[in-house]
This record gives sequence, C-alpha cells and structure tokens, in this order.
Amino acid sequence: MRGLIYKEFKLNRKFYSSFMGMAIMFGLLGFLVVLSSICGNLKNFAADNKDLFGFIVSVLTYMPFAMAVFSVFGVVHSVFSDFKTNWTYYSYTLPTKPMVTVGARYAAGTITLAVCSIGSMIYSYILAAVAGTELSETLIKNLVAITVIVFVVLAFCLPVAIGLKDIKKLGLVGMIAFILLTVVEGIDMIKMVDEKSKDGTLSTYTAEDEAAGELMEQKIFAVRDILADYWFIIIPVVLIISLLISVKLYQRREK
Amino acid sequence: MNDFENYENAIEIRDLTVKYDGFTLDHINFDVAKGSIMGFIGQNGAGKTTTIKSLLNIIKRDEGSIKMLGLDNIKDEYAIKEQLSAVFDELPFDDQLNAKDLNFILRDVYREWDSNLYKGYLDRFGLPMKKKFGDFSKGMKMKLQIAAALSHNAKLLVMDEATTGLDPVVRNECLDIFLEYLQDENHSILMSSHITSDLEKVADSVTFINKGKILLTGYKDDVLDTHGVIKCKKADYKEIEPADIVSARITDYGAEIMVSDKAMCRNKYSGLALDNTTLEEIMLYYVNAEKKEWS
Repeated sequence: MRGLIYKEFKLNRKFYSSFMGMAIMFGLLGFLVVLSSICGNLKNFAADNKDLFGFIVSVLTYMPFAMAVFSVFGVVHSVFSDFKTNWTYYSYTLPTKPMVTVGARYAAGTITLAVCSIGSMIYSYILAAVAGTELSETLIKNLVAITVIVFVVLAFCLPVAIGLKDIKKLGLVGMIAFILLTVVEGIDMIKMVDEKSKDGTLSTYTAEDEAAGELMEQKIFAVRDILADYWFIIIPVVLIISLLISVKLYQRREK
Repeated sequence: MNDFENYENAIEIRDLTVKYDGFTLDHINFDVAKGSIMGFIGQNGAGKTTTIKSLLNIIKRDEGSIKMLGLDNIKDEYAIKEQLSAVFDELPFDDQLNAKDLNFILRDVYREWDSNLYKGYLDRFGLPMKKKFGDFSKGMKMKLQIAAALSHNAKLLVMDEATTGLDPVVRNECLDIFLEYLQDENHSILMSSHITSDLEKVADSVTFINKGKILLTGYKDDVLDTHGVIKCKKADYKEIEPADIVSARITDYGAEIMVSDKAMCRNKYSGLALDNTTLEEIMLYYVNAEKKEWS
C-alpha cells in the first residue's frame, strides 16, 4: 500500500502546496498580528478594541487550519484524474485487492487531515504562548469538531466520487445539493419574513429572535461537544462504513 | 497453488459473450498457445478491446469462461495478475509522475518486481528516470509501459493496440523486444492491432474479429497459405462457385476474389491468376463477406 499512498501524495503535490502555502501565510500573519499587538503598531488598537481584536485573532487562528484541511480533498480530486488517465482500468490489472487500492486513498486523506489538525493545534498553542494566554478549551474543541466534520465530508465525497467516476457528475450532485439547501432555507426565510411583516416586527430584533438565536447556538455547541468528545468513535465508524461502500463501488465493473 | 508451467494454452476463451446496446460480443472462442504470439485483428469497433477488457476482468461478461495460465480469470484473479502484464495504447499514468515514482509504486504491487531489471530496460530504451511522463513522446510512453510490463517476470503480456500511433522505427523496436521476450518458451503474448503488417512480422497465430464475432482463427502461416486472391475479368468471375468465395471486390476493370482454399482453387480454376495475400487483405475481404460483392 505504501506505493499507492505515495502516488496519492505525489499526484496531489500541487494541490497540497497551494493550500498549505496559504495556511502558512495565514499562520505567519497571525503571528505578526499578535506580536504587533504586544509590542508594535497594533498595541493601542488591541487595548481599545478588545472584542474586535479577539475576533480577528480567532479568525486568524482558524484560517491556517481551514486552508490546510482543504488540501485533504486532493484525494477526491485524484479519483477523477485517475479515471481520466485510465489508471483505474490499469489498477484492475494489478494484483492488488480492492481494499488496498481504495484504502490507499483513505490512508492518504486521513494522514493529511491528522497532520493538518495536529499542526493547527501546535500552531494555536504557540500563538497563545506568544500572546501570553493559555490555549482555550473551546478552541481545542472547535478544532477537533471541525476535524471530525471534515472527515465526515471526505468520507461522503470519496464513495460518491468513486461511484460517479466523473468530476462533472460530482459537481452536478454538489450543485443539486446546494440548490435544494438554498430552496429549503429560502422557503423558511420567506415564511418568516411573511409572518413578521404581518405582525409588524420585520424591522425589529425581538426577544423571540434572541431566544431562537440562543437556542440555535446551544444546539450547535451541543453538536460540537459530541463531535469533540466522541471523535475516537465517530471517525473509525465513519471510516469503515465509507471504505466498505467505496470498495463495493470500485469493484463494480462496467459493461 | 497452480504451477505456472503446467498448462497448454496461455489463454482459453470459451463462449465469451458481452452484450451492449447496439453491439454484442457473440460467443467468442479462441486460444493463445503457450510460448506464442497471437495477433488479434479487427477494424475499429470490431470488439478487440471489449474482448481484452473481459480477459483482464475490467468489464463484466454476460456468458462464457476465460482461463489464463491454466487458471480461471475470476476465481484465481490475483494469482494470474502477478504473472500478467497489460499494455494499453495510452499511458495509464499521470503526467506528474516519473519513472522513479513508477518503480516505487509498482515494486510494492508486484511480489516479483525487479527494480534492477526495470532500470536496465529504462537505460536500454533511453528513458530518463526523473523526467515527468507529461514530457515524454508517444514512443517513450510506450517503451515505458513495456519496461514496466517486463520488469516483474510476467508470463503473459496482453496488449491492446500497443503499437498504434507509433512511428515505424519505434514500432520495429517494440516488435524486436516482444520477440526477445518470447525466447522464453513460458512467455506468451496476446496482441490486438489493426496494423496487420506488425502482426505479419511477429505473430505465430491470428484471430480475426468483426462486429463481435470471430471470423477466422488459426496459425498465421496456415491462414496465409490457405487464402489467396483470384484476379480475373468479370466474365470469368461468374464461373467461380459461390461456395469457394469469401467475398469479391468488383471494379470497372475486373474482379478480385478472396478464396479460403488456395490449393483446391489453383487446380479448379487453373486458367485464372491466383496470388498470395496478406493479413490486411484477408481482414478486408472477411469484413465484407456478408455483402459477398463490394467495391
């Protein structure tokens, strides 16, 4: 499997280097901003605008991670380039079991995600140390939860890509999903605006809206906590299910 | 575990059938004897690639059985594939990879991969180790595929239009390599092509396919010896019995008639000129056999 994992990394080198490059860029920017707030031009701004500055720093903390995890989807991209080059047909002539051929992609994706996540944790720890603060539990939970979400999305995309065999079809699936989501959200939005305009509360932020917002926030945090606390169960379960589906789809021979 | 020495035919195909909309590979039967090259000839869309894909288990078949190296091609798939190499008309490796990468990938795949042998072939073919495949010419890409195919002691090469699109010099080099490969009696090659001149040079036996059906199969020399073309006037053409004719090409100047029993026709139609033929002509006349007369 080593050779096939190597192939994944080699094929996606440009993909990785673009996103990792942006991650490093945002990482350095984060350091500069924090250093500048301690002993540079941003010192006064940081002191006078604590909330805003805190928001900026938290965005800069997440940006390197976000950029890095996008590179994980290189393994999905390589599914399509393999179909384009007929590597997939060639792989059917090799004496490797489907679990090994498909598993190599999952291994490459999982290794990339693990490196990105651990790297981001280390970066956040160093950034916090430079800023003279401790790494917050919230930040760690958020990073772990996002890692699980990215893994779940990857675990969904890989079998779809292997089954569809065509990047245009995957794009079509993504577009249909996006349109459906937009339509559903749009209908909800229209209904809400219609009700609010009837009772005259359209231009005001009511106590009801605040309560609804808080409830939504609680739900999001609850999901985040589950993902962060049970990542060691969720990731293996999702991995096994996704891998088995992908192997079945890979084994499906055309006629 | 099968002993890869104890089999007579490298490939045995029985009643292979694959059905598509508008095309059917219809009960294909032929064998590739151990230690020989079989030329698999047919025009574009005849069913050569479909047959080869069925052989390699790339596509599902509807009926039939296939044995390779004495083993069933589905039940013993992985055992066969250790001893098998496939060579396609297009390089199936990404342009970003190079020969060094391919060595790293394939040595992990094949138990008997020989990196020194691979590097030896690369040196012999003048292929650079670190140049990306995207910068290779078509001839270099084909030689690379052949280098990879020959570097794990494969007993069987299956080639699908491998020499198509190559210039005559490179084609000749490739054919020499195949003949060298066959010096080991345990090695066999199935080579599909519509470049019949290549197959005339190297093939031991030939199989013609058209519209999903086998038209003819046999030893190349026997096929060439038994077939011939009678060239005569239109008036003389009417004297020839339809049962003796494969098909006839009628022009304004006369008729050219393919016969499948040259020796018999030479006696029967002694007044008519009977010439030797080529695999290309045989393919042409058999493809038009349904029409009987064509121009």
